[in-house]
Amino acid sequence: MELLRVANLSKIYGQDSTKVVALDNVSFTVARGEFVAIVGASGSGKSTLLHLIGGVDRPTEGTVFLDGQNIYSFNDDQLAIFRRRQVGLIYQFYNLIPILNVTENITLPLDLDNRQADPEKLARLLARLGLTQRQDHLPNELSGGQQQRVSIGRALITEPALLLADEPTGNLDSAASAEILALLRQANRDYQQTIVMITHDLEIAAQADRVIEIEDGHLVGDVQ
Amino acid sequence: MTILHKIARRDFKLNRKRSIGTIVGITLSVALIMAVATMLTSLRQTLIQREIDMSGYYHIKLSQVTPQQLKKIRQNRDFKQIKTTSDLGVAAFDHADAAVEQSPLLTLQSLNATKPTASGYHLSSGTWPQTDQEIVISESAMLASGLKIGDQLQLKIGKPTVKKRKLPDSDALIEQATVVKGKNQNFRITGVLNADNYGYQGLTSAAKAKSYTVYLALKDPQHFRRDLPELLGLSNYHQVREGKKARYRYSLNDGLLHWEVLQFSDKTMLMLVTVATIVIAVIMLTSIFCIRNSFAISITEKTKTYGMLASVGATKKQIKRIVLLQSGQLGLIGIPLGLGLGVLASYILGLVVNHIGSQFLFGRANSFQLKFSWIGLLIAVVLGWATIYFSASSSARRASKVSPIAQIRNEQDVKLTSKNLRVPKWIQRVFKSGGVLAYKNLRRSRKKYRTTVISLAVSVFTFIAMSAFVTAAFNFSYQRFHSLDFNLSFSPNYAGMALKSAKTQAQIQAITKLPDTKHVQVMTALADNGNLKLAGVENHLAPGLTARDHRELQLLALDRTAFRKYGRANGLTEQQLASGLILFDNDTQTVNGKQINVHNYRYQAGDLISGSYQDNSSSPHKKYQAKFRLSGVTRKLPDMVSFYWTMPSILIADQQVAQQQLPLVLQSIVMDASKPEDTIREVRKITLQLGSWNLDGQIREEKTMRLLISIFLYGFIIVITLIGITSIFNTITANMALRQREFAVLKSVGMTKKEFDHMVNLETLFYSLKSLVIGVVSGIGVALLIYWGFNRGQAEQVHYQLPWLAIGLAIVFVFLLVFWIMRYSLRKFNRQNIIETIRKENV
Repeated sequence: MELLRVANLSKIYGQDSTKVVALDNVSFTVARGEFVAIVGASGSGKSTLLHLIGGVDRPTEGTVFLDGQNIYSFNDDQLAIFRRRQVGLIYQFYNLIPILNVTENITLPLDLDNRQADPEKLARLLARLGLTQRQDHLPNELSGGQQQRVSIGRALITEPALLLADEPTGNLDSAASAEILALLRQANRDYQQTIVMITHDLEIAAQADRVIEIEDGHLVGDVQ
Repeated sequence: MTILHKIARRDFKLNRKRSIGTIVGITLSVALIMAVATMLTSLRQTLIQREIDMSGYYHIKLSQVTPQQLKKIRQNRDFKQIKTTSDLGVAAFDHADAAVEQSPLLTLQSLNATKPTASGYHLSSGTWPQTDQEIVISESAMLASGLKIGDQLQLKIGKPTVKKRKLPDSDALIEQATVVKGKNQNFRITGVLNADNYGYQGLTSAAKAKSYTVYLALKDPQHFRRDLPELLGLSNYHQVREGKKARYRYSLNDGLLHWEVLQFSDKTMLMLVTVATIVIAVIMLTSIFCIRNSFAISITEKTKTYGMLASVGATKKQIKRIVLLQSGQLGLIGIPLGLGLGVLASYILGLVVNHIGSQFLFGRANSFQLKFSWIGLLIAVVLGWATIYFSASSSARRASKVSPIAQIRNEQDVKLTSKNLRVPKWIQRVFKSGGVLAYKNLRRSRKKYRTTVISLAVSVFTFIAMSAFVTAAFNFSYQRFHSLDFNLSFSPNYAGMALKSAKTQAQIQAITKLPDTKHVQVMTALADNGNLKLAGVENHLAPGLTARDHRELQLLALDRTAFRKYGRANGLTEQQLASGLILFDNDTQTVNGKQINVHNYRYQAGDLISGSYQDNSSSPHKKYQAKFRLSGVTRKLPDMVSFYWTMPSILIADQQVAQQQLPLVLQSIVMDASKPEDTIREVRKITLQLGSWNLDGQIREEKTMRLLISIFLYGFIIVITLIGITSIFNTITANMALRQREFAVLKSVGMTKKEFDHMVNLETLFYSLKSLVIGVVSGIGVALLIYWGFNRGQAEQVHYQLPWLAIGLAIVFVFLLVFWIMRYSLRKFNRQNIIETIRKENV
């Protein structure tokens, strides 16, 4: 069953001499529970694609449907609420709030929604992420792998329809990378979490159900 | 606590230095408003107290009130305090100095209250009378009679009568009045009344009388325009002002009403309101700009955080709320601190005022009274919050507006094309690669650059504008007393010291020969304030003027020495001066919005001026003819004349010449006395007809006032400047902190200390130059505005002076300050580890 539909998506930065076409008329769909990797060289437009799917940027043309809803028909506030409830975002550089501790960073999307985290669920999530002992620490007291696990926790806490990961292992050593990937696969397998992950590492991409390849803003390959 | 509160609070704690910087800014501006309010309230309270001490605590004084009327007045609920003295009538004062042509009558009142000071009476020595056998009499009566405390005094008390016609008591001063049918009564003198020049007065106690003088203090002086007509049986205040016949004879304690009701003339009010508005606007604007910058810069520092919050679904409203919550926290700390600091500063200033000499300013026994102003507190709190809100809201809007992706990439401040990064050749040559980097950085971080420049410019602007304000305030108050060549002035209390009279001549002679005096000048005028009616003036008028309006001219005469001195100072020769008449002729006209000086008359030196004068004070009215040859025309009046007269045209004559043709009376005697108090006493021994004006006391008062105003105003400038400095410090250090990573990278690729220095030097140059240009130009503009405010509705115009000193100070100060702060930030950065700094940015 289709969860995500990317329809004729284009994104152009700058004008005239500085004009850069980051994405050019890209379309594809993702089914519920699918684990998709998007691969491409640096500057191919994959991060732009991810940001557009996640509703953190607006396209020049085309649109994105999630659960049949056109997310770019939303205004900025509706879009923020959409991100809060429907999308979990994981960045290469974690993007944690430096002044909030592990638990607070994880429950942030719920807090912004004025919702309470279920304590049992939170404890299970912290255990799954291996952060139980670290829940009161601030981001700068954690290793890179731990910080990335916090950002995964933050992405999963709302049980979003779609988990987006932008080079989640790009800043980590191989052991930490393996850990993070295992966590993502587990979420996909155990909770049927739909995941779209960006990577330039083909080995990591090979662990996904499906690999979409982007080159110069065009979709050039889609392999199950 | 919601997550928004949590983020706001933690952020506040983590960015302690920046938060403290902002709090200092808020504290200072609130303190400034609070201090200004407290000082103004205290000054007003002190002046009210001074008026009460000097003239008594009453707003309305009613004379000749009957017991029935008094009973009715006592039922009126508008009054807080009702004090009375009984009118006993007047007494022939047999001890009066026969040489003085003053009424030999003494007005007698009886005290009914234990505190006679409430009615404005003061003792200069002795004690108050306790019974109707005791009396205190005014200083002048004591002096004239040679009586002492403890002496017995017999008075014949009755009604004043002139040629068998009875007069009301208050007209007792009319010459030739006597008491015909009176009752003799004996008193023992217990003290001396410190009363003014107006006649002889006596106060006894507990004597019965048929009418009263009533001193009324209003419950609510603010409503005096409503209560006064009610009391007087008039329908509105307008009728009071028109002088409609009222139920009572009354007078107002204007001094007290001035300060309690702030009832000033419209012109004074207009000036006060204009100047106050400009000053408050300057405080508010400076504070808002500076605090706003602190917020703006901290928002820039936290752009990434807000971006991340937005990317995980924080709405615009939520991000805005975080910024506003933070500003609220700063306000919760800064505002109470500011209120406290403001009151403390006022308290200290109050101590200083009392130490320096409140006795000169606020009367003998008065000290500066610190009064806490609740309205001031309210205004300070409201303005403080308003300042914070306006400062933070634009930042909050900015934080919420940028798209999350731009915030994550931290790109909203950087909109670059290679064209606007081109570096002028001279910069490359003079400042080398460090300078090139600095220039590029300024081009890149336009917003941050602008923030810093605005901070600086606003401080420069405020400094210059406020300095101009201080100068204007001083010029305004002291214009009048500058460089007078006398410190004592005596003028007759009553008309009629004819120069012809041998007694007047003898008295003038005696006064001019007093010891410890110099530059004694005598000024005389036509009797009865009369004018000389010029003949044939039609042929000597400036175009457009009519003879009807300009036929009569005031004629004043100076003693020969003073006249010659004045003439010579205006470029006239001895030969010209021999004819003995100078025309002062200097009017102003507005032509095309500009004021220019013009002559009303076309007389020239050597012209014959003839005219007539009718002395209405003589009976029958005597007419005189006079003829003078004009010595010359001037545009400046002698000091002693301009001190009393401000007419556009006046005839100044040599007394000896004028006296031969016209009847003159004494107008005033001025002198430079080394012991003014002693000289006044000596003059009083010679005659009691002359009232004195001790300018020395006035000048001393002015000097003390000047010192206090400078303390206050320079304090004000210092605080405003401090607010500016906190903001400049905040902006520059934050800017530098934001570039830490860049600096670390530069250092890691081998940029030397010298190149860093070049970079800092160029940035200093750019910041300083740009802000100085903006600040100085706008400062001069507002300075002009302030002068305009002072001159609104004022006859004496304050002349604009370019605030050179302030501009010079601002230039030096800005360069030093920016240079120092940049170096400070750089030193701080130099202490950090390069790699740590580069890595830190990734958290």
